[in-house]
Amino acid sequence: MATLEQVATAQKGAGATHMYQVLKQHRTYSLFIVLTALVMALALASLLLGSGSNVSLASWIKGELTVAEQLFVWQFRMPRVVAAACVGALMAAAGTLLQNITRNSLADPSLLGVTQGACLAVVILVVLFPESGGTLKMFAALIGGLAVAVFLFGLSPQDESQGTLKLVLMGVGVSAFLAALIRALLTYGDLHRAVSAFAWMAGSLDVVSPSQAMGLALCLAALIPAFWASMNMQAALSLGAEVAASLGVPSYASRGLIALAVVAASVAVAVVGPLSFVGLIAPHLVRRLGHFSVRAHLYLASLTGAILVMAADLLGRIAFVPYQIPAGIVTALLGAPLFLWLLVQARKLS
Amino acid sequence: MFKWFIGFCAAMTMSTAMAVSFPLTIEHTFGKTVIETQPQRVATLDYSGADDLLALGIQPVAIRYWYGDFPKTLWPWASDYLNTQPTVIGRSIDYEALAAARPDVILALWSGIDERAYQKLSLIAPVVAVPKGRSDYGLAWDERALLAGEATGRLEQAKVVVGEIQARFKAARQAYPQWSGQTASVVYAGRGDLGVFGAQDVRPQTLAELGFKTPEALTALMPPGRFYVDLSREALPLIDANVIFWFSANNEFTHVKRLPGRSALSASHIFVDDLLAGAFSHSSLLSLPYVLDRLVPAVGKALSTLRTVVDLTAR
Repeated sequence: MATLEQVATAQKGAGATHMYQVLKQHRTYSLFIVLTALVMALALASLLLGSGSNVSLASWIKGELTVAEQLFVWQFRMPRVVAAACVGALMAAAGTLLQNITRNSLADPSLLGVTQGACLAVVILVVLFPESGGTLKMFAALIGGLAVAVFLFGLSPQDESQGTLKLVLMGVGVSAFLAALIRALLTYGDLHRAVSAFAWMAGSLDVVSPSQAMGLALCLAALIPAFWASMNMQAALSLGAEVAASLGVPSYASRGLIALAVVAASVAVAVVGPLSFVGLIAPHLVRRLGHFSVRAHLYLASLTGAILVMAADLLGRIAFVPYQIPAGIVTALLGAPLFLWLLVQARKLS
Repeated sequence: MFKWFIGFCAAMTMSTAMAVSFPLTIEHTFGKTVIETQPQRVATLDYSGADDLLALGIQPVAIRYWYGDFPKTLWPWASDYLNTQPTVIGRSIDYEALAAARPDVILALWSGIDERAYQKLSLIAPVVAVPKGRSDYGLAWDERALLAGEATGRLEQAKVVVGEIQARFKAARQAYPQWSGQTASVVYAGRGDLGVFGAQDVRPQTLAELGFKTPEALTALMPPGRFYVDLSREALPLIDANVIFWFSANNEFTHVKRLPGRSALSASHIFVDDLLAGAFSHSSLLSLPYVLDRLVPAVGKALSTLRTVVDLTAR
């Protein structure tokens, strides 16, 4: 004879199982919620924790922050958190878009020379015009990234069925050329200037100003509708250029979409420096979590990108006090092994 | 006329700066900084800034790590002066840790900070940056020391210490008048690269204080605005001088000894060990006396006979 408690427990168990079924059926929504919650949790942790002093949430809610703590939270940590989330999302969205339309799982913004173009522009500025300010550096990076993309577009064949593969291959060539120029400039430029260029190239969030973080957030907000509107074309192009054409996607669409990805990546790189790995890894991470529609995949990948950069920044900030490890280095140090592990796991499962 | 004008300007600024009184306004490349009262807690982001502050009797609350593996992060000529445990700032500035040290003033005269970093630092405390028109690492040792002295209200002490070091250089020049007009090349030789420092670099400048000249062939090689230039190994005869100072890394000179063509030079050679090389690079109020202590006897020995090799790593 079952006691009341037993019945209750059984019902609870059934409820949990039911819950799990629901979650499994609506994997997209549940994952969306989980990832959003992770972004929120990381944002909160990043605001509270730091080498200066750890702020207690209770005293923050009660409005009892000291002047120093207010400085930490609002001036030092908030811009980093916002910038990290935006940059991660922008890079991941750009990477996902490029992987979709080139149908090449290696594609990411650095493959199109965007990262190297931005780097070269900054290195030229730092080595040849060392007295130029931070804002100029930002615009130089933006223009450098866009210039490389425009150059590639100019060279790529008009025949769209071949276009994207050739574009990627030319991107690889141009990237190698630009990387060699960067090395030459850093080797023969003045040592101190080379050091400050290296600091930018490590991809650091520590000097992001509140206005830059705001600018990034605005850019992200402005680009979301563009990504939203392009989703059907992306889905069609991910089936191949011919299928897309038969579905009525205009032949110039892929170029327009690549331009969108380039703008997103250039904005991100301009503010924090190269964080190229995020654009490659975020879409793959999501792919390992399940099968999603093109639209859902893009959003989940953007959230994952935000999580990656936020976690990397937090870790680099608090793990090796007093030394700070730039987020760009942490994403590569942790992201690469994670990526390999995922690929090995996938092979085991298949 | 121009020289006279510069001298007049220098005299003017000196006389106004003579009596440091607070609030003090210092103009620099990023704008104007006002220091309200004489700072008690001084932070420095300069790569050898701790040396200068300690020489002025200030225990800094935050110092910058540059390179080298020493306890307390300070090099041997400075570590005995430090009695406190300052916050150590790495190459990438940890703004929160710096703020937690609660500085009254932040010195950034040899730190490579840019405008964005300056804005962030100014939220913590008044920041003294390099004067307008000067590059990030362009200030000479005495300019840095005097500016640090001015910002901390210890200009008089700074002048005394700078004067003492200048007097030591003068004494060495007088003790060895035969060095005047001799030529000295300063060469760096890593595993793969070879190059020389021009007359604008701190190393040849320090040697110039002892009377040595940079060979004209080298000055002719130097691109405008540069402190050093890479050389092909075949260009080795160009660096010939009365004495050649060799800088390397990790006290390692076997590759220099094996350099083809080195024996064909008429110069004497001095192999500079890492510690002395570091003292040159710091060129601070504490490291320069150390440079003189080590350098003067070595140069004396190297120039006593032709083609002598003085290996300072063999100690």
